[in-house]
Amino acid sequence: MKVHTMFAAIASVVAPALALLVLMGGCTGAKCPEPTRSRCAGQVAQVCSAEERWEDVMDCDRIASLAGSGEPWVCCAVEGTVGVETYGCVPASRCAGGAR
Amino acid sequence: MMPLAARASSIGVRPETVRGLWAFMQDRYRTTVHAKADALEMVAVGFALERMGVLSAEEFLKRYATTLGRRIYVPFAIGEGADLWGQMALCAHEHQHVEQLDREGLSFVWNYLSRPAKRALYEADAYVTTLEMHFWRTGELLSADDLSAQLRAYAVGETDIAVARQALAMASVTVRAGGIVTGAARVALGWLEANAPELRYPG
Repeated sequence: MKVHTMFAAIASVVAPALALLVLMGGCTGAKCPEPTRSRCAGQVAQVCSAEERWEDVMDCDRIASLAGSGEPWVCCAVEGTVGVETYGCVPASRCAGGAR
Repeated sequence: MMPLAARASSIGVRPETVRGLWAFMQDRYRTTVHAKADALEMVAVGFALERMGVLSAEEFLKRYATTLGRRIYVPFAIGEGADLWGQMALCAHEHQHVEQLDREGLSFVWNYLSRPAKRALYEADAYVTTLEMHFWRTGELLSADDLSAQLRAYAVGETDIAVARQALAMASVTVRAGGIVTGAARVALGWLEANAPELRYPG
């Protein structure tokens, strides 16, 4: 009886915690077309994960400059292999195609 | 988790600088450092990884630093040994995992342990810190191919590794342009700029 009560008490704590963890684990980004693709979502550079979800790589608004030039960082197409565009954060003046 | 690997010269790196950076980062992130080989929980993890065929227990205990929450387990005595710069780069890398914990809380722990795709991206993020430390020291970028290949020791798939390579390549463009992406590198390099600027390339 005591064991049963203890089990019920533990279960009442553990079960909601596990459910919460599962729910948190399920909170992922929007679906994306092909792993390794990248894009700009506003000022955030994202990559398409193996789970085919967009995941943040970096937020251009949070980039610090080693040189401290004060120039804003923007998300745009930076370089790419043939046929695949790559996106990332660069100083605004280096964003040839304009920010996306 | 990251292996101690000599990627940049430790010439001119003083033991007190290494100890100073670790002390500063521990204070800033409220972390503690523990000898890995003496920690029973690490020995247990090592044998579990070996049984899973991921990594030998000896390699895990002798080569890799590991962060669990705010406890950092290291396979060396801080400020001792030949690869002093490697110890500082590793300090920043492991504290980036604490940044991830602070940012995402329990979902970071859950995702790291249960989802290889997320684990690969968390490690890629921490390897960006490694890349940033190396760039500050040498003016050179570490190869995204080489860094992502290290993820084979983290029980992830080839697609996960390809995604990590892409994330590292994206961050490399920013680092080459003089940007600092990760929080732990920002904190560590800020301390180094103030306390050991002579270590920065070109020095």
